[in-house]
Amino acid sequence: MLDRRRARLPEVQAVITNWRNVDQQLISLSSALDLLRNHPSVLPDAAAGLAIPQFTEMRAQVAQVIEQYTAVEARFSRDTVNIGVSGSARMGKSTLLQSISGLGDEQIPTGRDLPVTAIRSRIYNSPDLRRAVLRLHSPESFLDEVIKAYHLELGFDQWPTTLDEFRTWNYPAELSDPKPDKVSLLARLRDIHAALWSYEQDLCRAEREMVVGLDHLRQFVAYPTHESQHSTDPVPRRYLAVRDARIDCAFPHAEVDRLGIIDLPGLGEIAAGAESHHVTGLRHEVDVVLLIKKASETSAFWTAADAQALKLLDLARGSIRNRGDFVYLVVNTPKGAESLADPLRAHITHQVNDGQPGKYFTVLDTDAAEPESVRGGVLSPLLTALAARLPVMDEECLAGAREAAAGTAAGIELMLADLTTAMRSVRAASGDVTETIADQARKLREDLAIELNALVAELRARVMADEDDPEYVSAIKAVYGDVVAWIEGGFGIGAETWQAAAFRAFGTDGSGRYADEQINRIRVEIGNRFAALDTFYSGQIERTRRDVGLILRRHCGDLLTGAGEGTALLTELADLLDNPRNPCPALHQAVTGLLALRMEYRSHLHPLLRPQLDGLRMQYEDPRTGRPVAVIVPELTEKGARDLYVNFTHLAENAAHEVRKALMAGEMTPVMVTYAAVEHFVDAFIRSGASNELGSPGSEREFERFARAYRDELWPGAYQGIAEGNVRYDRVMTLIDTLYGTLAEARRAA
Amino acid sequence: MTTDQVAFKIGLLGPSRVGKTSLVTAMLSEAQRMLAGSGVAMVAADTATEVVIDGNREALQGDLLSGEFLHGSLLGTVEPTYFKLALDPGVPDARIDIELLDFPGGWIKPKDRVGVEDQWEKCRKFIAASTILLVPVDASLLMETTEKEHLRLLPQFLTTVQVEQVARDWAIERNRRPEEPALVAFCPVKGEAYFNDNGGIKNRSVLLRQRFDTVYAGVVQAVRAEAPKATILYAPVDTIGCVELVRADWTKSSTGIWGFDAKYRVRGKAEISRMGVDDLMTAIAQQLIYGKRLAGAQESDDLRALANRAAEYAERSEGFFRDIWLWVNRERQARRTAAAQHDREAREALHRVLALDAVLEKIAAQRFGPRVSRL
Repeated sequence: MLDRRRARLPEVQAVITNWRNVDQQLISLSSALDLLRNHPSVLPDAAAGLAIPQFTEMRAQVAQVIEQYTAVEARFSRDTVNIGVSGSARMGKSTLLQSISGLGDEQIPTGRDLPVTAIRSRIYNSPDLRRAVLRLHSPESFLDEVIKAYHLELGFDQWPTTLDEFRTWNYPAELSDPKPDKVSLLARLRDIHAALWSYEQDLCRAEREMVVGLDHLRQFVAYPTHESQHSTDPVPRRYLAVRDARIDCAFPHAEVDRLGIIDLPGLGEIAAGAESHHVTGLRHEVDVVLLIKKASETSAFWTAADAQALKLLDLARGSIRNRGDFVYLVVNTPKGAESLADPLRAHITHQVNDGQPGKYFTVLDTDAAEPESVRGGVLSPLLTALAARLPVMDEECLAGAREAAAGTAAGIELMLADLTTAMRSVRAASGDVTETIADQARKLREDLAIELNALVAELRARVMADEDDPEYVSAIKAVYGDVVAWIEGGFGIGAETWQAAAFRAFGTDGSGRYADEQINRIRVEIGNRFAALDTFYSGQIERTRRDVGLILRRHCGDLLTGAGEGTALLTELADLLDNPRNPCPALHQAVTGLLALRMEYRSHLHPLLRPQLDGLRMQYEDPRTGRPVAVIVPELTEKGARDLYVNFTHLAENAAHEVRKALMAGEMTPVMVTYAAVEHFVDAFIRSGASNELGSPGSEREFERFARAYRDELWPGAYQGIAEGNVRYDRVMTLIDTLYGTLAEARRAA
Repeated sequence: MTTDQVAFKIGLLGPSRVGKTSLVTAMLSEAQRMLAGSGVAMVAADTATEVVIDGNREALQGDLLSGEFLHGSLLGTVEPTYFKLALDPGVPDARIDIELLDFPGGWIKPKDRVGVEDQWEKCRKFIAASTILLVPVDASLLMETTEKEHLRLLPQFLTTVQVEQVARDWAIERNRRPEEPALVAFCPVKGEAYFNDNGGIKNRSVLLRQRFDTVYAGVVQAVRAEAPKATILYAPVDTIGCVELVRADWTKSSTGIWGFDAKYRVRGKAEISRMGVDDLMTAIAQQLIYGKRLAGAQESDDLRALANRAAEYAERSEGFFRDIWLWVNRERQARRTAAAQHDREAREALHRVLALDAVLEKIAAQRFGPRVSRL
């Protein structure tokens, strides 16, 4: 039977391991969810779903599963069939133990009056061994589990944490509120304190176990006798250093081979808070419990305390269906008390078995002091029953654990399903880096489109305005004024000087050559002077580049903050767009196009305005006759020179006037040029489609490339956070998957 | 003013200094050229007109001699000016008086004619009696204005709003007399620089016409709407011919008053070379001849009824038909006198009266030059 149990042990241990993993993974998952929930990338709405609801309760359920499987594990790993012996004080427990084990008072102390058993023992039938193995407290465990408990119970705020502190602790002689139980507790604490000298060496042993010969065991398991307590000598209390004791010895009954008997504390004697712990211990340690009730003058009936004790034992039954399989009632009838036994049995039958003997619990009869009686009345029927019922109880324990595990697993899986849904919403809201870059690129493009379109609209409004561009009008007037001043100032040399030079030239070359040279000079000079508008044009274009650049910089994070403005900024942007790893040919071309924009008088306007200078010539073709006509044929005199000068000033003034007029009325004003250029730039930068010629997938895709290439500069810190958020997200998802797997594994193992 | 009831009336609509006097001078000069040798003379009919025209001629001669001159445009004055001319065949009572009124556009707004209501009423009657409106248009203003700020000043400087209002009233009056002819002639002046048919190099006449159409669209539409049968002519006129625009500037005085100054130079040999005035005279002659034919139609049985109506109408009508009726009656009277007297003097008088008729017929028969178009 025990071998069959042991054969099933690995599977149970595997399940326990799985469930312990489940517990750890739940903890990890909860922590991972905390981290994810607190990440900036997770929106508040999504964060609400990122938690394990009733996490504590769920862990408690897991602990319960583990506890149940651990109980099964303990059950299956026993080398012996363990019989727990329980019962109130003075019921004959120790006597029964002596009868079963063959040990005496030195090992299992008994007494007539005071409780004598200080340490509960587990006694195993061992044909070859005769010893006791004591498990000892460390100083820390002693102070924490024993002394601290006393202090707390007595309402003391502090307690000693070292033996030295304990040694010098000053306990009051009496309590300010001397309730009887507290007085007793204080007295016991003072006894413990006073006896430190006797057990300190045991606490301080290097080895935590101590093997003791059975002949010297009593001092470690029994309270001091009444006599020693009232002697004047210091009372030793070495049992205080002992946690528990295991006794190996040969049981007198040969037919009982692999048997252990466990001395259980008297139920009802321990504090209420410790009872559940005690019950758990029972479940782990014993296969069956004997609850002894002694037929005596003082206990020949089933009391409420007995009923409570039975109730507690029933709790330890766990998943075992039949209460009677786990607990047997033993009526201990000492010699001379036979007359008390019948009423007791009758009372038990009435109180426990609903009036039908054996209906719920089996009642065994024995005289605990008589080994043969114990053998025949208790051991034989008990072991016979166990032979049949123990495998059943094993199955029931295992089934119970499985049932608890299945329920808990279902709850966890439901939670995981909800969590997975919540995680999807987190992913939908925040996305991964690739998706986020695409989103950000789209938004960048949209934002730029809005502002650039506004700039285009502003330029268009200037083009369509009821008023001329005042800056342009002023620039033209300034240049025109300069030209007129030059003309009126005698073509740069003064009227008299000019006329004098003309007259002198007449003398050598006649009027024609000088006039031709001068008219050409005047035409060139007027053209040159109007070319001064180039400063205005280039300023306008640079201002446009600056406006565009500022918009780009405003939306490009740290990417363009180091650049200058206008041309410098756009040049840097063009370089960035010419990125071999993430080429953006369409965007690059748009920017370089804007950089290449020129508006120059000589190259762009002069060819258009040149006809306005046609009047500056010495002869023309008469439209009516088709014959050449001289504009002027001056006399070769001073008057002729003056006439030539006046004529030339008229022609020059008219030419300048016509150029000015053409500039003012012209289609090609700076604002029109910049408007057209910026509109084209925006079209190319924002709206260009795919182009095989350029090798461009279109503006939208190029924005994604641009965003990928410079994401950390465009959105400083954002992607570091997203990566971190994704790590957290992935951690949660991994833990969810792991938990699913662990639960499945646990299910398979069970 | 004794000829008020018998003069052939022409209204002149345009801002001050647009060149109305120059246009009248040019018309007089051109008429004299066209009538030369015909025995019919075109003369200034009163001293005031003679003085004004002489002054204009002297100023023009001065400008031509100086080689250059400035011509400014100012906001309109409000003094009406009458020009009185006459086609005189040399026969007493046989001449045709032609009276032109420079209509003060500033009086169109009631608030601006307070205190001059009598003169205003006189002007209004004159315009109502006119069968011809001449609208001189400052071509340089149209062509040399490029800034939007200045373009907005054009209606103010060209008085297009006032011209439109007077032209509309005139057209309404014409429409009430469907038997009578009606003519509006828009005459761009100071436009020598925009044509190449009279000594200029560049032909920008198309652009000039486009600008006229834009700026004067309201005036043309008003006439067309109110007097659908009226003849509307676009007839650019070179009143000098030998001048060329040098430059033009919009200026603003320290008090915020805008002005437009155009500087001209004299080109070639400084010989006046009018262009388009003959077209204007042809149009006027056509008006006279049309009326005369209408009045003389009583000699035809078929047209008698119409002639009777015309005669009756002339009795109660002012202006054109009365003038024409008188002219016809004078011609008949001359014929009757010549027939009755059979003397040389009478025949000579008849000859002159008939010569006037013939020369007007001849002028009216001329085809318009290429500058002219019907609107």
